[in-house]
Amino acid sequence: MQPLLDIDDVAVRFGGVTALSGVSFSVMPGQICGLIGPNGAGKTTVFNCISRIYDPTSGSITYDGRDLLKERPHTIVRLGIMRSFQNLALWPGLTVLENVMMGAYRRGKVGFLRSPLWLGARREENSLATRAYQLLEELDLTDIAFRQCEGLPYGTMKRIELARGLAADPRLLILDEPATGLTHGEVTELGDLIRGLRDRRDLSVLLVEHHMGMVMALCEHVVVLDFGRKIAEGKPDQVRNDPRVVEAYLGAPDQFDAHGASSATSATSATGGTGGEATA
Amino acid sequence: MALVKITQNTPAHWAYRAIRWAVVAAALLYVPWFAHQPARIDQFTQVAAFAVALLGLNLVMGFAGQISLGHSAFVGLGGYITVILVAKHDWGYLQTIPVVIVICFIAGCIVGLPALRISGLYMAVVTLAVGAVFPIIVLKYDGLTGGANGVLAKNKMLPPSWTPFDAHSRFGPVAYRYLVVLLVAVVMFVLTHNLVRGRIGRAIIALRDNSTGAAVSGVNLGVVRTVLFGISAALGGVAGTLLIIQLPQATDGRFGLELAIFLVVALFAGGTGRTSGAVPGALIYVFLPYYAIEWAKHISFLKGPGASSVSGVIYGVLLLIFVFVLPGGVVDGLRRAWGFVFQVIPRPMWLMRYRGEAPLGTTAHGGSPPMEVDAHAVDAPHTPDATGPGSVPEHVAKADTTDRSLSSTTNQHPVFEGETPR
Amino acid sequence: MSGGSTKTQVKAANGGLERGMVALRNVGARRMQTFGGLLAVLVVFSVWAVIDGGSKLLLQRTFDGLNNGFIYSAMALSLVLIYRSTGIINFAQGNMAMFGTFIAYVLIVEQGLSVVAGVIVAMVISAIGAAVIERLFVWPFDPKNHLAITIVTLSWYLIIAALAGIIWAFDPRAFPSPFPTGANDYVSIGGARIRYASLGIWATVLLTLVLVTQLLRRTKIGLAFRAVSSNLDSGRLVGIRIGRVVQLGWALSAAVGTLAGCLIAPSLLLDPNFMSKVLIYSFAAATLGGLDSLGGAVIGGLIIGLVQTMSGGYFKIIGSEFSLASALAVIIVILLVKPSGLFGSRRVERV
Ligand SMILES: Nc1ncnc2c1ncn2[C@@H]1O[C@H](COP(=O)(O)OP(=O)(O)OP(=O)(O)O)[C@@H](O)[C@H]1O
Ligand SMILES: [Mg+2]
Repeated sequence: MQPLLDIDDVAVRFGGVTALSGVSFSVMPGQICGLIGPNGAGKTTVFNCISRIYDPTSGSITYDGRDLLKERPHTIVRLGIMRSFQNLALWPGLTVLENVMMGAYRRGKVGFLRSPLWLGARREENSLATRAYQLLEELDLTDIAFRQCEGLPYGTMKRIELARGLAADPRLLILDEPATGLTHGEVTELGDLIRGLRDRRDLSVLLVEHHMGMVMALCEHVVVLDFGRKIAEGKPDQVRNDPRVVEAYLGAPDQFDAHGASSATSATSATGGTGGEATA
Repeated sequence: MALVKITQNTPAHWAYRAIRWAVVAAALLYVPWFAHQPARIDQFTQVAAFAVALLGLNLVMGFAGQISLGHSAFVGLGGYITVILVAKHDWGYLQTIPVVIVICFIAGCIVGLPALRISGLYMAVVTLAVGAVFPIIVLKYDGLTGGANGVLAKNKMLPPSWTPFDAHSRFGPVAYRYLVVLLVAVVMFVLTHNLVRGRIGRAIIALRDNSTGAAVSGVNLGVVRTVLFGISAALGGVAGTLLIIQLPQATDGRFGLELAIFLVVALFAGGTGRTSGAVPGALIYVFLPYYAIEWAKHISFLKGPGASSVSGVIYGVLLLIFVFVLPGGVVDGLRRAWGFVFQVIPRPMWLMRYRGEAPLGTTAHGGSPPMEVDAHAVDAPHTPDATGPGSVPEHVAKADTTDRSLSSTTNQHPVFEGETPR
Repeated sequence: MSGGSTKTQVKAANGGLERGMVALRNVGARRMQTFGGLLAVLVVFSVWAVIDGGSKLLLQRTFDGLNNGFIYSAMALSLVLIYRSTGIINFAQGNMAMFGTFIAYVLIVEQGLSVVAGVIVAMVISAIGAAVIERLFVWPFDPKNHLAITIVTLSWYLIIAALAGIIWAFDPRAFPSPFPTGANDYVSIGGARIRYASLGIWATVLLTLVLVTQLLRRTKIGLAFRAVSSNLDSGRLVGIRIGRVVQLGWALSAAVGTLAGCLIAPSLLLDPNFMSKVLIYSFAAATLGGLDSLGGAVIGGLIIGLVQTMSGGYFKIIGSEFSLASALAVIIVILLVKPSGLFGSRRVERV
């Protein structure tokens, strides 16, 4: 089977900092793929290359047989790729509903010419709004639909971002730490939700997450980065027992013994590896 | 909490809206009768014209978060185009508006183009350059623009005979011009308001609040920014035309950098990020200096050359009071005061249809036709929540859906978004 | 501590050092490119100018241009100081300088102080005034609320201009120069004259630049200032009292502004509007230099001054009316190539 997303030998340098070097992996259609690694490993940088915010210094990224590096940030969503952001990229000046409607921006047709005259706008607005509202229902956010999205709890904003991502009706959804700020129950729910969405739609997911329980339970394939290099790849079980991975996460190897959403290890303790909280 | 709560799309809400609009319309139309002197009507004509300029500036500064210190140039461009066409080519005043819109739009796109690469305060310098250079160009090409003498159109706009206005009375022409300018201004307001409340409006606010998020959602930042600057310039040009209708004389001094800066001040005072902010802004811009000077004439120690400066002090102090007491400008204050009395609880039509509710919200029709939604969008059948309350719970219905402003607690400044010194 | 962890740490430290070195070299290379480009333009232009009007004329125009340029530099310096401490452009800067210059005028002409003493006292008074304005009208706001602070500066732009109009009215006044201005007070270089007054201005501006830079480099509050201007939040985290630093920025900036005003006033005439054009040029100069670089402000000012004089002098179509336009056009072109000015630090947006 041809991979949906193929990252081949990608390197990214910022001045003297090498954020990624020789990273290759691929995401199959319908797959939920996990991308993990300690803080600063380069996970977000991979995402930024896919969404064309950064230009790789070398290497290639192919999506559905198409050279992704030829695209611009705003054309990516047209191809069916949508992402969420680690540090949130919501718009405080818009209501929650409007934030989600923006995810479907590309599906609207009323532009600069028709909008002032409100030609066909009403119909389109209604359908975009209804659609967004359905997604809010699905994510249990209808209570705040008409509120400005500022000042909401972090976990709620993460879910709004997820709703916005889904509003784009993507074929590949890339999520940067969607479980941050969620309670344990919510993390389980989120995992179920993502799997459910994947099952119902023609959707593949690339997921960055520090919450190992979620990654191990959800992903069919896991890629591990450390210091900008891929150090392991495979099924969750293989990766968990890989000695290089254990060393990269040094300081919290018990991360990998905890299964499922009951894992009590917080995301941040996985990051002790480079900080020297070693107990091994 | 508000004294009166009105649910959207109920008879009470319709009545509320109708009364509000009727009051606004009546107030606008009553002006020529309420003002006892032609000069006073003229001032209201100016208010309408400047409101259009502020509307344009607001698009760029309030909605898109780009600073512009050069909008005087577009106002001037529009003004000069109109006055030249009228004075030298015998056009009618209103006929020039399409030409003004096209030329100013193109000029605005060209000026806005550098924003593709340049942002924040650096872009402010580019616009400042445009504002500063415009009067110089006017003086340089004196064959066309009359140089320092300016251009004067001798034939003022007069009411045609089919109107009830008497072209030979003191009031007739002035009142007629007021109504014409008002009409054009209202059309501009409606068009702009539609623009910012729809899909494009969301995109504009999105690129102000978080441009990366906007780009990833598919907004072509370059195109939206550039076209928006063009539209803003076109509105500035129309304002220039309207100012020429009010006083058919264009000089370089009328459209200098001073105007650009005062427009920015008036916009801040009126309120950024809301189309209605342009109206109080224009009122302040026109009437504040006028009353300040009137007042200063009565104070003995201010008599003499310094008297005209008093308006500057009052302007400045008032602006300071605004930042401290009403950081969102006059409209924001008015809205908040209004919010103590009336609160509209959002319950848009589409939501009612989606839930299968009857328009009045009294009985739930089981069999009302479901809302058409793109088929592929619905992945799981949803059971309309027919038993639920007809509206969003009050405690969460904080904001009106058309509320575009950043709340006053926002620290991020829309104009210098993300621009911290490093 | 396990061995593995220490190894990681050493690896990270080494990596950090290496990255730092490479980054330094890269910065150097960028600057060299900038300088190289500017130099090439300069050489081509001077060859052409010498052919066109002879070397004496070129020299004379260069000196005149530098003269204007240094004055713009001084004002640009004061703009940069506020930008670095507050993150905004102070629209009131020109009028604050104008007011300070009027104070110096009152002290010198009406109170009979010596010119140098008058200027220094006026600088101190402006610094105090600006510090008070900062404390009363800027300090109450969150330092990141740039909109509010910008409106405050716009308010003071209006208030100060109007106050000066009320107090001193609008008839222009002559301002005494602190430097010798006799008919023979000049040095001649290649036939072109530099007046002592010009030399005095150049030296004063350069000295100011050195003093301000040293103040920021050598003193503790200067360190705090640099920390705050590079990252407000981290500055706050390490316990810097931001308010103090911002106040210092305003005071310093007002003093430098007043100095600039007093340096220009002898060649222009003093009236409440006399700084408005200068402000536009120095705004442009600060932007050109990169808004956050003190040295950049000075170089930006010099470039603006030179472009203004040369374009007005050499290109007949442009003429003197268009010199402002040509200076601004140059800035737009430079900004298109380097969106954050010649020496400004590039803002990296992390997502
Ligand atoms: N724009 C940039 N400029 C300079 N360096 C950058 C930039 N973006 C990322 N980096 C560097 O690249 C490296 C990888 O960063 P990245 O954000 O991809 O890590 P991450 O794996 O997402 O970490 P985290 O788990 O903390 O989110 C880091 O060393 C970071 O400092
Ligand atoms: Mg990350």
